[in-house]
Amino acid sequence: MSDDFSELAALASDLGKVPPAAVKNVRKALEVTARSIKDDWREGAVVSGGYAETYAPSIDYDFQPDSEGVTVDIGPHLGKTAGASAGFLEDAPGNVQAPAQHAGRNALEANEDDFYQGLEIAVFEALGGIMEGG
Amino acid sequence: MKLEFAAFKARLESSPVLAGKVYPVVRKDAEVPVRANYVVARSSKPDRWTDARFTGVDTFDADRRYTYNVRVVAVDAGGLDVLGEAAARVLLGFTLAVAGRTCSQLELVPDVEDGDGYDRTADLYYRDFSFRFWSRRA
Repeated sequence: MSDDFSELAALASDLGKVPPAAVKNVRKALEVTARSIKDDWREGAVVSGGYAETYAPSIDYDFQPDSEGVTVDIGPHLGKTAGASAGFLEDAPGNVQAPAQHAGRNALEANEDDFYQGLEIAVFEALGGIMEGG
Repeated sequence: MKLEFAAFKARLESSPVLAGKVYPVVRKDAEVPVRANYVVARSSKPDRWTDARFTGVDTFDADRRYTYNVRVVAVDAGGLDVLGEAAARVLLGFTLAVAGRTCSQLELVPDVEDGDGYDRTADLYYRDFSFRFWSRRA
C-alpha cells in the first residue's frame, strides 16, 4: 500500500465494476469506515487544540447520489455549526504558533486498513450470495 | 532518528532562499512572534517503525517511516509561495543520504484540510507542508 491516497482513489473506481448485489454491502462497509473516520477526525481536532471550537462538531459524512457506485463525503459541513469552515485557519487558537492541522489526514490514514478489510468482506459476501443463488 | 533529520535539515538549508532560515520552533521575541520570513522544521519520531514481519520482533534498525512537517512563515502572502516553492524544489523527489540507511525519495503527503493560515495579531502568513520518506537498512 502506498503512503498517499492514490490507491484509495483507484480502488474506488475499480469497485464501480463489482456486481450490483455487492453495492448494498459496500455501502454498509463504507458507512462503518466513514463513521470511524468522522469520530477520529473530530477527536483529533479537539485533542490537537489547533482548531476553532466550532470545527470538530461540524465534521460529518454524507452519502452522495452516484449512478455508478457509492460515494461518501466526509469532512467539515459548512453551516452546520456557527462559524464552521472548511479548513480556514484564521480563527485557529494559537495562530502562527498553532499546531499543524492534520486531524483529517490522520483519521483517514488510521482507517485505511479497516476500509480495505470492510470492502473485502462486502464483496466476498456478495459473491457468495450470487454463487449460492446459482 | 538524529541522522535522518540532520540530512533533511541540511537539504532544506541547501536552498539559497532558505539558508540560515530554518528554525525548530516559531520565532518569538518577548513572547511576541517575530515578523520575518523563515521556515519551521524539527525532528519527529517515526510514525511507522516496523519490518512488518510476523516472525520477528522489531528492533531499532527496523524500517522507519518519517513524516516531517515544515511550516513556512512569511510577512506577506507572496512570501508563502517564495519560501514554499524553495522548500518543495529541494525536497520533493530527493533521496536523503544517511549513513547505514537507504532512504526512499521524499514525497509530499496530501493534505485533507486546507493549509494556509493568517495570524491577524502578528500579521504573519503561514503554510504547512508534510514530507515523508522511509529509512531502511542499507
